[in-house]
Amino acid sequence: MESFSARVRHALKDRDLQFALDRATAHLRSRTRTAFNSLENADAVRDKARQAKLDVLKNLDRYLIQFEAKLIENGTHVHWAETGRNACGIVLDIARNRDARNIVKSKSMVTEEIELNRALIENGFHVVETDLGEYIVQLAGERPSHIIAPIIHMTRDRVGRIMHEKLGVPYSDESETLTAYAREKLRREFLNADIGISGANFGVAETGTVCIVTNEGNGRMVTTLPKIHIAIMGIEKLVPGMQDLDLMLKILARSGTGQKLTSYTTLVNGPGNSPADGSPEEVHVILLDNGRTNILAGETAEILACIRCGACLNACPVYNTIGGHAYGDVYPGPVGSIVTPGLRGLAPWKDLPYASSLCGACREVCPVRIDIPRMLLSLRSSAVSETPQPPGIRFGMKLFGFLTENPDLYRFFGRAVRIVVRALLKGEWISKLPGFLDGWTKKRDLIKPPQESFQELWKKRKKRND
Amino acid sequence: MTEPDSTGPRDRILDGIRSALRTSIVPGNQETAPDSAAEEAAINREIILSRFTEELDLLGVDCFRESTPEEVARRVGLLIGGRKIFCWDSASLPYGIASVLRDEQVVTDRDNHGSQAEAEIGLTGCSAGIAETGSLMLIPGEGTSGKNSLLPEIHVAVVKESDIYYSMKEVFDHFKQELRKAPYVNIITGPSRTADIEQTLTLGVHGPGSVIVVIGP
Repeated sequence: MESFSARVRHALKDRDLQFALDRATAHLRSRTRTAFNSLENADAVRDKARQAKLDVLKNLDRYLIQFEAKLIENGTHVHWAETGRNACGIVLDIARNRDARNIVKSKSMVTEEIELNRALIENGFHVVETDLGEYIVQLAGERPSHIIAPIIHMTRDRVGRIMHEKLGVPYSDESETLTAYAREKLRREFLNADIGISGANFGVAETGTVCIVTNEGNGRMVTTLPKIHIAIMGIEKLVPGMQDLDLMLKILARSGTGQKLTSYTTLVNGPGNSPADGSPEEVHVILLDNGRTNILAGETAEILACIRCGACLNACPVYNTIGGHAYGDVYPGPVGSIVTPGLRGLAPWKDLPYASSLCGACREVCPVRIDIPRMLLSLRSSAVSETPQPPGIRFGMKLFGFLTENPDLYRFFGRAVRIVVRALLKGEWISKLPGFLDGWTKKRDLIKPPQESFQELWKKRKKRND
Repeated sequence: MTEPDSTGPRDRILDGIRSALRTSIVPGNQETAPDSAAEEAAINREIILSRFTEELDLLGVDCFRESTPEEVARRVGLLIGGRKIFCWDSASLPYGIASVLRDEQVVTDRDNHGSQAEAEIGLTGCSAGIAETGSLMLIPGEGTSGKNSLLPEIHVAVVKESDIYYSMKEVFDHFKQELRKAPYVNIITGPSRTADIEQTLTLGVHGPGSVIVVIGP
């Protein structure tokens, strides 16, 4: 894979992407604001939802055992997967044992995370994404670029061309026509499917309920028509009880799409008694770790409270500039910059915590108030201490540390630098610093230092006032 | 049914979690913002009903309020006309609506998804309406499959006025047992929709593109 900065450079040059992002995220942000206005006691709801998620994390082992017991009581098969590979293996085993061939999937980030489609296709299964955006991503051979709006990076012209090329349907750039093509193609897939695979938005520990929300109805289709339903769920997705689920549902759709509630909220309790009632004969839940325990052990544990609404992506000035693909893995945006290094290891992903201006917009919009900037800083700190720094940087940092601890010296040096730079500088901006200092001005200009420092101004002002 | 799988992965994951929790940094309890929620019980029927119909309107759901069982049946008859219907068993449909359906327009095959999907209209009752969000909660049972409200392009739901609650919280409390017993439960809030293509709202992706609610006495 290209380096992070190369990916960013490409994204910045992609005019379609820039155009699509500008429009879409502004739209989503304004819808979310309006939707929260309609929520009574929004602050209390968010606080309580946060407490419920943190409570689950602090007692995760107990809640998982409770959830498992309820699932089994309801007749659901429970599987535990330490890695993505294990989870794919479990799905493959179920599919082989039941002589399945056709598999339909509803939208699920966790199955992207474990690259389930690839495993299924390599083993000869026919697997189709059924969320419209995910379907188009699959046709195009790409990856989703947003947690809830997978093709936020595509123009409708591009969607029309992809469908025309891959499905042989007449070209159109009308959302309605393109959606109708998908409905027809996918309806056939649903009716012929042997297995339906979904993720899980929430698992209710108290009742053994898996909650899946979708707007299109793909979540309902995959849990209703095929004889077998497999839900793959990260171990952190639990909530204690139904009343906590109510809190989560209140904030999820509002933060995600600006709706009060998603069109379809499906509560899956287990297999049904007869096919006529529209429930599968067999339900499996796969509880996936895949690095989550590692996250739980450290300073970024709080990110496991994330409900994957995507609001932090829409709010983030960096996401809005570089789009989802530049982050290089499944989870983009501020949340991804913490989750990806946590799940996959910090060393190969140490650039991600820097993909932020630490402006705090993500923390502000997060419905469960996750302190993303704090964790980005902590990851930056780990990234620096894990990688050996060049001697120049080490010396520079030591010097800076020394100066900040000695106020008189600090003032003296500051003053000296200001005087020298002001004497040498012609214009208002410095576009290139000499020697190794050039690293700073490569990506930004430096403004001419002021005549007096803040401390000096402050002293003067105090004197005047005294 | 399977027994807990006690070999390997389960115990390793749980042990991993327990040792992670020893070093984990999860923020402690914080003060929660004051919650001045009006007690839903205090909200009167008319407010609940008008909120329900307002929310349905915002969702683009057509809503009819009828005052007698006969009017409900007549309304349903007008709405479905001669079109093919995939509906709940006649005994389960409220207000004796089944009387307005003609045998030849009703899909009777309970297992064949293909023929069910050919029906134009899905006709159902409803376990509870949720005013706050304009939602319909359907708990399936004998003869009342979730497929009725999913496969056809139009969903007509008949709701009893007394089954409309203010909030989902209230509904979760009130239907606690039913919610646990059913293999699955659907809460339907407006038509099937997508905004995946350039944020353009488009209805009827996989589920019904049109939902019609008839409220009866």
